[in-house]
Amino acid sequence: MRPAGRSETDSLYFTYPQFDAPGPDAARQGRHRVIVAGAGPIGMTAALSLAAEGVPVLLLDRKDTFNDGSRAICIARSSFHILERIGALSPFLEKALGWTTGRSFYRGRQILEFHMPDSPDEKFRPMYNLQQQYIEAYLWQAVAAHPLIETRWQTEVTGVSDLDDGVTVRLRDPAGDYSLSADWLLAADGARSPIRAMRGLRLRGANYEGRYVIADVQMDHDYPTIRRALFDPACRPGGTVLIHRQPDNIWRIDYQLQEGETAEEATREDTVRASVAAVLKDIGHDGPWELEWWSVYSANTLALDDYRDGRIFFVGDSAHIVPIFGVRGLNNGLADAQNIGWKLAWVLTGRAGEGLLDSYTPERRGATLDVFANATKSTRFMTPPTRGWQILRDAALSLALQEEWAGQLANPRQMQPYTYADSPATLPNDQAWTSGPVPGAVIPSAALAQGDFLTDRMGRGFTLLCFGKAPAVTTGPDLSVLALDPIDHAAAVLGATAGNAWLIRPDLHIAARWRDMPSEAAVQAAMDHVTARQEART
Amino acid sequence: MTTQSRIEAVYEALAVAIDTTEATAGQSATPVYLAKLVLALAHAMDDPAKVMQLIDQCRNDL
Repeated sequence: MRPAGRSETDSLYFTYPQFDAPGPDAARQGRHRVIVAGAGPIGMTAALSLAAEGVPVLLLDRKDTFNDGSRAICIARSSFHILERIGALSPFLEKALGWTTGRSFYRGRQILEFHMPDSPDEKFRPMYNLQQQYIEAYLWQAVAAHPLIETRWQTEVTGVSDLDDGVTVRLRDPAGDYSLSADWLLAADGARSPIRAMRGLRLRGANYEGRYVIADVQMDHDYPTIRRALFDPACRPGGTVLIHRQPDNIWRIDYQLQEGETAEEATREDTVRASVAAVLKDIGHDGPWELEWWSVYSANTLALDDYRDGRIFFVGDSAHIVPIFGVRGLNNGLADAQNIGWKLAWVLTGRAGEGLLDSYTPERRGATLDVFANATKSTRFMTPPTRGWQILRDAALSLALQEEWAGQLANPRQMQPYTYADSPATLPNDQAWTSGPVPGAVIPSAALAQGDFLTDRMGRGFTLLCFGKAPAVTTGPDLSVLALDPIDHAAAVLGATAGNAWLIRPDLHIAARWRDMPSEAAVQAAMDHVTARQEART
Repeated sequence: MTTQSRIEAVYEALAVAIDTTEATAGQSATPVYLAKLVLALAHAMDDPAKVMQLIDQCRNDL
């Protein structure tokens, strides 16, 4: 929502583009390899992941511009690695505000300062703030420039039906209705996913009572990029307020609705202005400010039981809805998009068997359930669901004024990459290992002596990272070898000694590891297992 | 189990216990339940001086 007299895309600082509907040269029949429904951040990332592997993509969106408002603003380090892998990183690095620190206050007094893990070994900061419309604009730059991605705006999916070897998608644009078929459909059509509804699928899980208004204001405000959480502040007795800095002098203010306050009342412009003014007074801002945009949300932990339905994969919010505390919604969705992107591309280009796709749900739904576990803790603290949780929360906050340990209970537990333990697309861990990153984990970042980072040396396909003399394996687009000296700093980061080797997947998750340098046969067997290639050959 | 995760486990168990107490015995039972718990913990702790100090300290900032 925006102030009276301004349209949904009439921003103080961002010019929304206007995308035309498909022209007369857009084919209104035919077959595609992959159709991606939804050109938000998740759909565009999925399209770029597929296109990067040589797979043509048709990307659809019913809107004629980007999503309105700043929405998801926190991009985790792991997502920056994804953006780098799909070739979209540069503008993000230039615009986004990196941050490492958060502060929590109770009744105006600081009770916690947390610092997210960061070190010279990390290429990126643990978190970046950037408005979603910039995220979409920067991804769009990469999408629009990619010759393998055709985008059709103002094109709505009105129906989906199954074929033996694909799907038929019914579409509607300003010129009328038509149908296209595709081998695979990725539904990245958001939390209210029309495709999910068309398939009769339902998200399952929990809804939480607490509701928040999120409001963006533009103002000159002298405070670093540090996330602030205000518990029981004077401006909102008994409530919680979150404050984030964004680029362009935009500040995100989240505040909890008061007991008995309806969403309709809370989102009236005069109510929002009064609430924001009270927050700004509380944090000592007495200068001018302008209201940019606002919305309302409630915390939910909802997910599909299976992210696949025949030839359709659900990606991002269409598959799961997570509370925003801990900034997991966008980041979890980007990891979905990368995961299905490389796997589907490998299947479509004949480098993997379709069995590889069976790992998508266990890996990504497992990540979502892990998010739920952490987000549920955060949500119970931010918006206690019952009197029991409320009493404990208030007791912890009161105690935190004197006891540092109690302040840690207010730590929002930011998102960490999930380890795909027991995934069919990883090998079992060798129990003889007592340290170092395990199969399923993301390869740790490490600064190299040459001034670059370990992840910079990863190939587009799988990478065999070994310490010591590299084994004689056949390399190519699917497999590259990175041999490092066992005395290299990276060995210390991984806890590696001479002869140790890791097989890294295209998404930087570890597929396998060996204590002794593997033979070519062992490496190929591992890749065959992970990519289900044996199945493809038989 | 780290100190932090032990505290979190206690935090969660106590929140659930209060809700369960109130569901079965009503809200008025909560202060009695919490006082009873403190007495039991004080006895288990076997450090009267520390208990007295915490009784005073926890009255602050309510």
